[in-house]
Amino acid sequence: MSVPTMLIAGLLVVGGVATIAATRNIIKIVMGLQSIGLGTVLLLSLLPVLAGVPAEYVVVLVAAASTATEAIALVIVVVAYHKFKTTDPRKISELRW
Amino acid sequence: MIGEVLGVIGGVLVLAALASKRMTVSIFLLFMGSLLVGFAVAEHSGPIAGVVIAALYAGALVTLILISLTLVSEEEEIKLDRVYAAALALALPVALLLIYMFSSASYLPHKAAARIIGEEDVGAFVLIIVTASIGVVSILRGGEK
Repeated sequence: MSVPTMLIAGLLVVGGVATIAATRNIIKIVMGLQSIGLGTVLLLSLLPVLAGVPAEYVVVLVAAASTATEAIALVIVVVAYHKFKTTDPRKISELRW
Repeated sequence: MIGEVLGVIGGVLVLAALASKRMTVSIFLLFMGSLLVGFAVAEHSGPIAGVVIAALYAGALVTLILISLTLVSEEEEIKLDRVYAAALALALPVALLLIYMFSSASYLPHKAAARIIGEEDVGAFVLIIVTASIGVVSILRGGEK
């Protein structure tokens, strides 16, 4: 029951994490964040189907939080580009810790 | 069942977007995948959540497209070509169809649908997708030249 959706939701989260870890484009990192958010939302949307729990507000809350995270990440992208003139996160050495 | 199919197709599109090396294809696939996942969520846990998710993620993607065009793409002059004119011409019927769809009150919570989904709804949906696709491809291709 709902196994394909759970599988694809897990793949979205794993794919997003792998993209963030492997990419050399900072915009792709934002896309990875979006993939993680979509996977989480897709998994949460199964709550009414699997457990009979109404999850509409939880889903909306998670989506809003995920979108706010993306907005902050996009601001960081713009600021980093203006400062370093590149979208390659490996060249932005001052942000390493 | 339809929620499962939409979720799987949307997820595959998002994964293809992550794997794609071309930024144009990547953003476009992510846009379509996000919409389909929004529809899947609407099917699973209610139409309000699905509409909110589709709106939020589509808005985030528009911002992403703008930033991608600003930072990555070369500067170009604004021009009015055939594809752009076709997208503008299709925008008016799409707006009218959206007003018609939402005014039918079938998306309000805890209410029975005012009418059954018919051929005109499927046509409106196809028109919306075609218009969105033409618009996004036109904008992104224009930004790449």
